[in-house]
Amino acid sequence: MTCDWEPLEALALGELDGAALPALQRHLQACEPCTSELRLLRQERQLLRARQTPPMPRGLWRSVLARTPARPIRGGRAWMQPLALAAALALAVLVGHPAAKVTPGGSCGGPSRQGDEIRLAESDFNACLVATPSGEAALYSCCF
Amino acid sequence: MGVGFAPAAWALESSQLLVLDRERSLVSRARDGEQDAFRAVFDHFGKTVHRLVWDLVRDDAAADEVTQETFVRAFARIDSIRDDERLAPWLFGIARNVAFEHLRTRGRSPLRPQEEANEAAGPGTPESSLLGREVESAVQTALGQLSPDRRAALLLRVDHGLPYEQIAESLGWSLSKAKVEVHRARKVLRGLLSPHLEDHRDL
Repeated sequence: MTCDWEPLEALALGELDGAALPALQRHLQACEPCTSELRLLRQERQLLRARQTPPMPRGLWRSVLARTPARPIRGGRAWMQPLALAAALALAVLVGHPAAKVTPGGSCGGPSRQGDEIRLAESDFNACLVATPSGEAALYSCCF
Repeated sequence: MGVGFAPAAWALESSQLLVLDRERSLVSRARDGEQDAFRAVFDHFGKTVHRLVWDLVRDDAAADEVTQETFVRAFARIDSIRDDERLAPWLFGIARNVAFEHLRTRGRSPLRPQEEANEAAGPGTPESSLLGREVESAVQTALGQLSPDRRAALLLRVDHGLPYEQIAESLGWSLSKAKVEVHRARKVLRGLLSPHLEDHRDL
Protein backbone atom coordinates (compact mmCIF):
# COMPACT_ATOMS: atom_id res chain seq x y z
CA MET A 1 0.00 0.00 0.00
CA THR A 2 1.32 3.44 -0.91
CA CYS A 3 0.96 6.61 1.14
CA ASP A 4 -2.46 8.22 0.51
CA TRP A 5 -3.85 11.07 2.57
CA GLU A 6 -7.54 10.40 1.89
CA PRO A 7 -7.81 7.09 3.79
CA LEU A 8 -5.71 8.67 6.57
CA GLU A 9 -8.13 11.56 6.80
CA ALA A 10 -11.11 9.20 6.76
CA LEU A 11 -9.53 7.20 9.61
CA ALA A 12 -8.83 10.36 11.63
CA LEU A 13 -12.44 11.47 11.19
CA GLY A 14 -13.77 8.08 12.26
CA GLU A 15 -15.15 7.22 8.84
CA LEU A 16 -12.96 4.35 7.77
CA ASP A 17 -13.84 0.80 8.53
CA GLY A 18 -14.46 -2.43 6.70
CA ALA A 19 -11.98 -3.91 4.29
CA ALA A 20 -9.80 -0.81 3.94
CA LEU A 21 -8.92 -0.61 7.64
CA PRO A 22 -6.61 -3.63 8.15
CA ALA A 23 -4.50 -2.71 5.11
CA LEU A 24 -4.10 0.86 6.32
CA GLN A 25 -3.19 -0.30 9.83
CA ARG A 26 -0.48 -2.53 8.41
CA HIS A 27 0.83 0.38 6.36
CA LEU A 28 0.88 2.65 9.41
CA GLN A 29 3.04 0.18 11.34
CA ALA A 30 5.76 0.62 8.75
CA CYS A 31 5.32 4.26 7.70
CA GLU A 32 6.38 6.99 10.11
CA PRO A 33 5.31 9.95 7.89
CA CYS A 34 1.76 8.57 7.62
CA THR A 35 1.67 7.84 11.36
CA SER A 36 2.74 11.40 12.05
CA GLU A 37 0.18 12.79 9.61
CA LEU A 38 -2.57 10.72 11.21
CA ARG A 39 -1.61 12.11 14.62
CA LEU A 40 -1.83 15.66 13.29
CA LEU A 41 -5.18 15.02 11.64
CA ARG A 42 -6.56 13.64 14.89
CA GLN A 43 -5.29 16.62 16.89
CA GLU A 44 -6.76 18.99 14.35
CA ARG A 45 -10.10 17.22 14.55
CA GLN A 46 -10.04 17.40 18.34
CA LEU A 47 -9.29 21.13 18.35
CA LEU A 48 -11.93 22.03 15.77
CA ARG A 49 -14.69 19.90 17.25
CA ALA A 50 -14.06 20.86 20.88
CA ARG A 51 -13.99 24.62 20.29
CA GLN A 52 -16.94 26.66 21.42
CA THR A 53 -19.61 28.40 19.40
CA PRO A 54 -22.69 30.04 20.92
CA PRO A 55 -25.64 27.69 21.42
CA MET A 56 -28.64 28.06 19.16
CA PRO A 57 -31.21 30.08 21.08
CA ARG A 58 -34.36 28.37 22.28
CA GLY A 59 -37.37 29.54 20.37
CA LEU A 60 -35.65 29.79 17.00
CA TRP A 61 -38.00 27.17 15.59
CA ARG A 62 -40.94 29.29 16.70
CA SER A 63 -39.49 32.24 14.76
CA VAL A 64 -39.01 30.08 11.67
CA LEU A 65 -42.53 28.68 11.94
CA ALA A 66 -44.04 32.14 12.32
CA ARG A 67 -42.45 33.09 8.98
CA THR A 68 -43.31 29.85 7.19
CA PRO A 69 -46.71 29.92 5.51
CA ALA A 70 -48.75 26.78 5.90
CA ARG A 71 -48.57 24.70 2.73
CA PRO A 72 -51.56 23.11 1.07
CA ILE A 73 -51.67 19.40 1.68
CA ARG A 74 -50.88 17.62 -1.57
CA GLY A 75 -51.72 14.25 -2.95
CA GLY A 76 -54.21 11.78 -1.57
CA ARG A 77 -54.39 13.31 1.86
CA ALA A 78 -56.26 16.46 0.87
CA TRP A 79 -59.62 14.74 0.68
CA MET A 80 -59.20 13.55 4.25
CA GLN A 81 -59.04 17.02 5.78
CA PRO A 82 -62.80 17.49 6.15
CA LEU A 83 -62.99 14.03 7.67
CA ALA A 84 -60.19 14.83 10.08
CA LEU A 85 -61.87 18.07 11.10
CA ALA A 86 -65.23 16.37 11.51
CA ALA A 87 -63.67 13.63 13.61
CA ALA A 88 -61.85 16.16 15.79
CA LEU A 89 -64.95 18.26 16.33
CA ALA A 90 -67.08 15.21 17.06
CA LEU A 91 -64.53 14.03 19.59
CA ALA A 92 -64.32 17.47 21.14
CA VAL A 93 -68.11 17.72 21.44
CA LEU A 94 -68.27 14.28 22.99
CA VAL A 95 -65.76 15.15 25.67
CA GLY A 96 -66.80 18.79 25.99
CA HIS A 97 -63.39 19.98 24.87
CA PRO A 98 -62.80 23.64 23.97
CA ALA A 99 -61.38 22.40 20.64
CA ALA A 100 -64.99 22.36 19.45
CA LYS A 101 -64.61 26.11 18.92
CA VAL A 102 -61.38 25.87 16.93
CA THR A 103 -61.39 27.08 13.35
CA PRO A 104 -60.16 24.80 10.54
CA GLY A 105 -56.54 24.64 9.59
CA GLY A 106 -54.97 25.12 12.96
CA SER A 107 -53.83 21.63 13.56
CA CYS A 108 -50.45 20.23 12.56
CA GLY A 109 -49.79 20.65 8.88
CA GLY A 110 -53.11 22.44 8.33
CA PRO A 111 -53.52 24.26 5.05
CA SER A 112 -54.82 27.59 6.29
CA ARG A 113 -53.21 30.63 7.84
CA GLN A 114 -56.22 30.88 10.14
CA GLY A 115 -54.65 28.44 12.50
CA ASP A 116 -51.24 30.10 12.89
CA GLU A 117 -51.64 30.65 16.62
CA ILE A 118 -52.61 27.06 17.08
CA ARG A 119 -49.66 25.99 14.95
CA LEU A 120 -47.32 28.03 17.14
CA ALA A 121 -48.78 26.50 20.27
CA GLU A 122 -48.41 23.08 18.72
CA SER A 123 -44.80 23.80 17.93
CA ASP A 124 -44.18 24.58 21.59
CA PHE A 125 -45.57 21.22 22.59
CA ASN A 126 -44.10 19.50 19.53
CA ALA A 127 -47.44 17.79 19.08
CA CYS A 128 -50.81 18.17 17.42
CA LEU A 129 -53.36 19.58 19.80
CA VAL A 130 -56.49 18.89 17.76
CA ALA A 131 -56.00 16.28 15.05
CA THR A 132 -53.55 15.54 12.28
CA PRO A 133 -54.44 16.19 8.65
CA SER A 134 -54.53 12.48 8.09
CA GLY A 135 -57.21 12.08 10.72
CA GLU A 136 -55.10 10.56 13.45
CA ALA A 137 -56.08 11.33 17.00
CA ALA A 138 -54.07 13.93 18.88
CA LEU A 139 -51.14 13.78 20.36
CA TYR A 140 -48.19 12.50 18.40
CA SER A 141 -44.60 13.49 18.62
CA CYS A 142 -42.27 14.48 15.86
CA CYS A 143 -39.18 12.47 15.35
CA PHE A 144 -36.51 12.21 12.68
CA MET B 1 -21.17 17.73 16.44
CA GLY B 2 -21.00 16.27 12.99
CA VAL B 3 -24.02 15.27 11.03
CA GLY B 4 -22.28 12.00 10.23
CA PHE B 5 -23.16 11.34 6.63
CA ALA B 6 -21.47 9.10 4.11
CA PRO B 7 -17.73 9.81 3.99
CA ALA B 8 -16.79 8.24 0.71
CA ALA B 9 -18.01 5.86 -1.92
CA TRP B 10 -15.93 2.99 -0.55
CA ALA B 11 -17.56 3.24 2.84
CA LEU B 12 -21.26 3.58 2.02
CA GLU B 13 -22.86 1.14 4.40
CA SER B 14 -26.36 -0.05 5.07
CA SER B 15 -26.79 2.31 8.03
CA GLN B 16 -25.96 5.24 5.75
CA LEU B 17 -28.39 3.99 3.14
CA LEU B 18 -31.02 4.01 5.88
CA VAL B 19 -30.17 7.65 6.61
CA LEU B 20 -30.57 8.39 2.91
CA ASP B 21 -33.97 6.69 2.81
CA ARG B 22 -35.07 8.59 5.90
CA GLU B 23 -33.96 11.89 4.37
CA ARG B 24 -35.86 11.20 1.17
CA SER B 25 -38.96 10.27 3.12
CA LEU B 26 -38.64 13.46 5.14
CA VAL B 27 -38.26 15.63 2.04
CA SER B 28 -41.24 13.91 0.46
CA ARG B 29 -43.39 14.57 3.53
CA ALA B 30 -42.22 18.18 3.71
CA ARG B 31 -43.14 18.67 0.06
CA ASP B 32 -46.58 17.31 0.89
CA GLY B 33 -46.93 20.09 3.45
CA GLU B 34 -46.53 18.03 6.60
CA GLN B 35 -45.46 20.41 9.33
CA ASP B 36 -43.92 17.71 11.49
CA ALA B 37 -41.52 16.95 8.62
CA PHE B 38 -40.33 20.58 8.68
CA ARG B 39 -39.94 20.34 12.42
CA ALA B 40 -37.94 17.14 12.10
CA VAL B 41 -35.62 18.78 9.56
CA PHE B 42 -35.09 21.71 11.90
CA ASP B 43 -34.56 19.47 14.93
CA HIS B 44 -31.97 17.43 13.05
CA PHE B 45 -30.04 20.21 11.32
CA GLY B 46 -30.77 23.38 13.32
CA LYS B 47 -27.81 23.29 15.69
CA THR B 48 -25.41 22.20 12.96
CA VAL B 49 -26.51 24.97 10.61
CA HIS B 50 -26.33 27.52 13.46
CA ARG B 51 -22.76 26.47 14.28
CA LEU B 52 -21.64 26.70 10.65
CA VAL B 53 -23.38 30.06 10.25
CA TRP B 54 -21.72 31.43 13.37
CA ASP B 55 -18.37 30.31 11.97
CA LEU B 56 -19.10 32.30 8.81
CA VAL B 57 -20.51 35.52 10.29
CA ARG B 58 -18.80 35.34 13.73
CA ASP B 59 -21.50 37.38 15.39
CA ASP B 60 -24.09 35.94 17.80
CA ALA B 61 -27.14 37.97 16.76
CA ALA B 62 -26.30 37.67 13.07
CA ALA B 63 -25.90 33.91 13.42
CA ASP B 64 -29.42 33.66 14.88
CA GLU B 65 -30.89 35.79 12.08
CA VAL B 66 -29.05 33.98 9.31
CA THR B 67 -30.05 30.58 10.70
CA GLN B 68 -33.68 31.63 10.86
CA GLU B 69 -33.57 32.97 7.30
CA THR B 70 -31.86 29.79 6.11
CA PHE B 71 -34.70 27.58 7.29
CA VAL B 72 -37.41 29.96 6.12
CA ARG B 73 -35.89 29.88 2.62
CA ALA B 74 -35.30 26.14 2.76
CA PHE B 75 -38.92 25.42 3.60
CA ALA B 76 -40.12 27.84 0.93
CA ARG B 77 -37.95 26.05 -1.64
CA ILE B 78 -38.43 22.48 -0.51
CA ASP B 79 -40.03 21.66 -3.87
CA SER B 80 -36.79 22.58 -5.64
CA ILE B 81 -34.68 19.88 -4.01
CA ARG B 82 -33.91 17.10 -6.48
CA ASP B 83 -34.75 13.51 -5.69
CA ASP B 84 -31.08 12.54 -5.66
CA GLU B 85 -29.97 15.57 -3.65
CA ARG B 86 -28.91 15.27 -0.02
CA LEU B 87 -30.45 17.50 2.60
CA ALA B 88 -27.23 18.45 4.39
CA PRO B 89 -25.35 20.03 1.44
CA TRP B 90 -28.56 21.62 0.20
CA LEU B 91 -29.17 23.27 3.57
CA PHE B 92 -25.52 24.23 4.05
CA GLY B 93 -25.54 25.78 0.58
CA ILE B 94 -28.51 27.96 1.47
CA ALA B 95 -26.88 28.85 4.80
CA ARG B 96 -23.65 29.82 3.06
CA ASN B 97 -25.52 32.07 0.60
CA VAL B 98 -27.57 33.77 3.32
CA ALA B 99 -24.44 34.27 5.43
CA PHE B 100 -22.60 35.86 2.51
CA GLU B 101 -25.56 38.14 1.81
CA HIS B 102 -25.34 39.21 5.44
CA LEU B 103 -21.62 39.84 5.20
CA ARG B 104 -22.14 41.92 2.07
CA THR B 105 -24.91 44.03 3.60
CA ARG B 106 -22.71 44.51 6.64
CA GLY B 107 -20.52 46.41 4.21
CA ARG B 108 -17.66 43.99 4.17
CA SER B 109 -16.22 41.66 1.65
CA PRO B 110 -16.61 38.06 2.76
CA LEU B 111 -13.18 37.35 1.29
CA ARG B 112 -10.94 39.45 3.49
CA PRO B 113 -9.29 37.06 5.88
CA GLN B 114 -7.18 39.70 7.54
CA GLU B 115 -10.26 41.67 8.58
CA GLU B 116 -11.77 38.53 9.98
CA ALA B 117 -8.58 37.88 11.88
CA ASN B 118 -8.82 41.25 13.54
CA GLU B 119 -12.11 40.32 15.11
CA ALA B 120 -12.48 39.04 18.61
CA ALA B 121 -10.84 35.71 19.05
CA GLY B 122 -14.01 33.78 19.72
CA PRO B 123 -17.39 33.53 21.35
CA GLY B 124 -18.67 33.42 24.83
CA THR B 125 -16.95 32.15 27.88
CA PRO B 126 -13.62 30.49 27.34
CA GLU B 127 -13.60 29.39 30.95
CA SER B 128 -16.10 26.69 30.07
CA SER B 129 -14.22 25.60 26.97
CA LEU B 130 -13.07 22.02 26.68
CA LEU B 131 -9.79 23.35 25.31
CA GLY B 132 -8.87 25.95 27.90
CA ARG B 133 -8.74 29.69 27.37
CA GLU B 134 -5.45 29.94 25.52
CA VAL B 135 -6.01 27.11 23.07
CA GLU B 136 -9.62 28.09 22.44
CA SER B 137 -8.53 31.62 21.65
CA ALA B 138 -5.73 30.41 19.39
CA VAL B 139 -8.06 28.13 17.43
CA GLN B 140 -10.65 30.87 16.92
CA THR B 141 -8.00 33.38 15.88
CA ALA B 142 -6.47 30.91 13.45
CA LEU B 143 -9.87 30.16 11.91
CA GLY B 144 -10.39 33.90 11.56
CA GLN B 145 -7.32 34.07 9.35
CA LEU B 146 -9.06 31.96 6.73
CA SER B 147 -11.45 33.43 4.20
CA PRO B 148 -15.06 32.51 5.07
CA ASP B 149 -15.34 30.10 2.12
CA ARG B 150 -12.09 28.31 2.93
CA ARG B 151 -13.06 28.22 6.61
CA ALA B 152 -16.44 26.78 5.66
CA ALA B 153 -14.80 24.09 3.53
CA LEU B 154 -12.46 23.00 6.31
CA LEU B 155 -15.18 22.98 8.96
CA LEU B 156 -17.68 21.19 6.75
CA ARG B 157 -15.08 18.44 6.34
CA VAL B 158 -13.58 18.22 9.83
CA ASP B 159 -16.25 19.59 12.16
CA HIS B 160 -19.40 18.48 10.33
CA GLY B 161 -18.05 15.35 8.66
CA LEU B 162 -19.27 16.05 5.14
CA PRO B 163 -17.58 14.15 2.31
CA TYR B 164 -15.85 16.24 -0.33
CA GLU B 165 -18.60 15.64 -2.88
CA GLN B 166 -21.13 17.29 -0.56
CA ILE B 167 -18.76 20.13 0.35
CA ALA B 168 -18.37 20.87 -3.36
CA GLU B 169 -22.15 20.80 -3.73
CA SER B 170 -22.68 23.11 -0.74
CA LEU B 171 -20.18 25.70 -1.89
CA GLY B 172 -20.80 25.44 -5.63
CA TRP B 173 -17.31 24.18 -6.35
CA SER B 174 -15.75 21.34 -8.29
CA LEU B 175 -14.66 18.30 -6.32
CA SER B 176 -11.00 19.09 -6.91
CA LYS B 177 -11.43 22.67 -5.71
CA ALA B 178 -13.09 21.45 -2.52
CA LYS B 179 -10.09 19.19 -1.82
CA VAL B 180 -7.55 21.90 -2.62
CA GLU B 181 -9.30 24.47 -0.41
CA VAL B 182 -9.46 22.11 2.57
CA HIS B 183 -5.79 21.24 2.07
CA ARG B 184 -4.81 24.92 1.96
CA ALA B 185 -6.91 25.69 5.03
CA ARG B 186 -5.15 22.89 6.90
CA LYS B 187 -1.74 24.21 5.91
CA VAL B 188 -2.55 27.69 7.26
CA LEU B 189 -4.12 26.31 10.41
CA ARG B 190 -1.19 24.02 11.17
CA GLY B 191 1.25 26.86 10.77
CA LEU B 192 -0.68 28.99 13.23
CA LEU B 193 -1.46 26.26 15.70
CA SER B 194 1.79 24.33 15.67
CA PRO B 195 2.63 25.01 19.35
CA HIS B 196 -0.81 23.85 20.40
CA LEU B 197 -0.72 20.82 18.15
CA GLU B 198 2.49 19.82 19.92
CA ASP B 199 0.82 20.46 23.27
CA HIS B 200 -2.09 18.28 22.24
CA ARG B 201 -0.03 15.36 21.02
CA ASP B 202 -1.71 13.03 23.49
CA LEU B 203 -5.29 14.03 22.70
